[in-house]
Amino acid sequence: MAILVDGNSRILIQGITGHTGRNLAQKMRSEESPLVGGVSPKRAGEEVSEIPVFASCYEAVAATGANCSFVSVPAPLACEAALEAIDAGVSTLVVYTEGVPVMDAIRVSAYARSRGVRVLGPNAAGCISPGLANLSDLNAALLRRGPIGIVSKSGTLTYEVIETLNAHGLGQSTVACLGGDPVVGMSHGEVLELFEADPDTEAVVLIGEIGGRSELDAADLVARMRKPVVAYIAGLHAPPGKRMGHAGAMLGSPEENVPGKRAALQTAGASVVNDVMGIGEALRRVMAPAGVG
Amino acid sequence: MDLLEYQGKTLFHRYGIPIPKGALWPEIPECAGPFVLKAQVASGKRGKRGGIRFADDRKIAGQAVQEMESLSFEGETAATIYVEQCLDIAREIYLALAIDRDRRCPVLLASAEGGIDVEDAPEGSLLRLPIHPFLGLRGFHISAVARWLGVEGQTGEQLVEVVHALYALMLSEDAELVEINPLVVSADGSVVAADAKVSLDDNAAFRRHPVEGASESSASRRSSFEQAVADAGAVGIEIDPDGDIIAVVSGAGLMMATLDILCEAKLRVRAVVDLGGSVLAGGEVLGRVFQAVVAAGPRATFLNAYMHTALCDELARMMIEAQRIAPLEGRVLVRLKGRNSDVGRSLLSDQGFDVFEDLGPAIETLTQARELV
Repeated sequence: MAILVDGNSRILIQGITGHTGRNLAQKMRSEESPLVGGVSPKRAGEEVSEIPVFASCYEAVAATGANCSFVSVPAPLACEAALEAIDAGVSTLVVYTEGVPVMDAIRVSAYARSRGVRVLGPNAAGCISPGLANLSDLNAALLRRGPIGIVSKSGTLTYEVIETLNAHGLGQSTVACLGGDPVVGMSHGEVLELFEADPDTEAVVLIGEIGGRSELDAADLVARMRKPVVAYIAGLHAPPGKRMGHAGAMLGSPEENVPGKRAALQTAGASVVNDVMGIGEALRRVMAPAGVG
Repeated sequence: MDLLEYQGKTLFHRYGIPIPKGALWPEIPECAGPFVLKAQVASGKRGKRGGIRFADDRKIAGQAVQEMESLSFEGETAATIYVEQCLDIAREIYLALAIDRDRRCPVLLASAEGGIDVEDAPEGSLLRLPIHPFLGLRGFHISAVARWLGVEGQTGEQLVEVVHALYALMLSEDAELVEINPLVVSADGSVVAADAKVSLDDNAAFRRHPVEGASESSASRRSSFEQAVADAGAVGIEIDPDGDIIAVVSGAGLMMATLDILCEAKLRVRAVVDLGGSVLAGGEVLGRVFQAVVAAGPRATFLNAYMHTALCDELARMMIEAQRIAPLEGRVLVRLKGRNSDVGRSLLSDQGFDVFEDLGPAIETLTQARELV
């Protein structure tokens, strides 16, 4: 098992004929991720990296049995593309596109919830279960299968976390990147719930940042979890009033800042680290009792 | 993008929300005085800083305008003065629509106390009604607001119109915030929006009519460094004017973490840059970022890139080209890791860059470099 994507995943790329889409298709093929089709309304019948291109998600799902999709289309088209994928019946959706209007993110999230579909993004790197399926822009070769689940908003920071895990010989069950926009589909807590129930996951790394309540709401779940959680929150030194690269990362009410989120997670029982490079070591510490027993 | 009051009111008028008679100085509204003169600035609390004055006629208004134009509002001067007919105020209400990012929907906010600072509103004084995007604004929402505010009769009927108009404005213009603070109820029971705070979603600019003069007002709040980096297509953020390091990073999350690591190592950071999507936009783009960095004159520049999908050797070539366009001065450290990064690192070290694969040693060298100075 794993969460969000696994050995049963069948992947579509929406916008497969664009620059990013082609690049990702080639990467997924070379990594043997289960890419089964692409969608590009005006390029149906073509192939990209020997993968068939369909005019719509409906046709792609009917022909390939696809159950996940990676949306990499221009921002003005992202809402329609995501809604279409949900309507066509996929169960996991990544909206990779950056710069999606917030009202569109609200629409996508609302429809996904009504259909029981799990959405990462907009502005999300996606999710990967190493060795099983890669629905993300992460490089599968740099991950290894193992017992650690990672949930993060950011993609680039997650690379760093994987690095510290690898250095401590800790592989990953699934890595889920939620996206840096103010409104995104899944929250930290919803992913924690999946990790808690996943037999392949023994411990979880939660990476958060300033702004919003996602990490605070996740603290309630951390308190109920059996599995250990190591947490890091970025943005301690962010100045007020500035969006820190992610549209959603901005100092807000005191509890939505680093000290507030750290405190909530610590109280709930998470091991909170102040330095992202210290995550591997912290994991080793919290996992030691289970390892010995 | 935050609109100035008069720009927001132009939108209000278009959507049928009643506004006072007004004009931009040196015009004055075609009505009898007294008038209220309002400095058009993006920063809040202008009233406490002398940004709102009253005048009985044009002559007195002229003197007041001269004084107001010399005022500073958190470093911002009033580009324009908006002149309105004074209102006859019986009651003030707070009414707004905002985005609730965690509930993932618009939220209708109402308080019987107008003129409040909504963040300081006492517990229980503010009604927060989430509006499900597929349900939309319903009669029962508005009834709940009217009961909360205790308005009825003619005022209640007008309130219904105003709330509908606010919601229509939010949807059609992709507003992230539409706030009327206060909504004035006159002695005759009619309502009028005395102020307007509207923030539009920059990502939705492609599907709405541009608001005249609006980009200037939001741009003016960026520093020259931030503006130069934004013009290059990246995100620049000023941290500490006395800092002497600028960090240029390949993504937002890593940028925040890099800033935290540098600050925790007691290094003083002048500014940070998130290259984001522009990371592989070409050497010319990176050259413009370098230009902005050079103009800020840091003692050291730290380029930190870790890329899984994009190719590190491509980025290395772009750095070399950018360095030809705008040579970085002082100490330059590059941390480059990820796809094809061994090729990238050797290209860079051939050009004399100080190159690292891992973050830890790079930070250590930066810390030691500070001690040597």
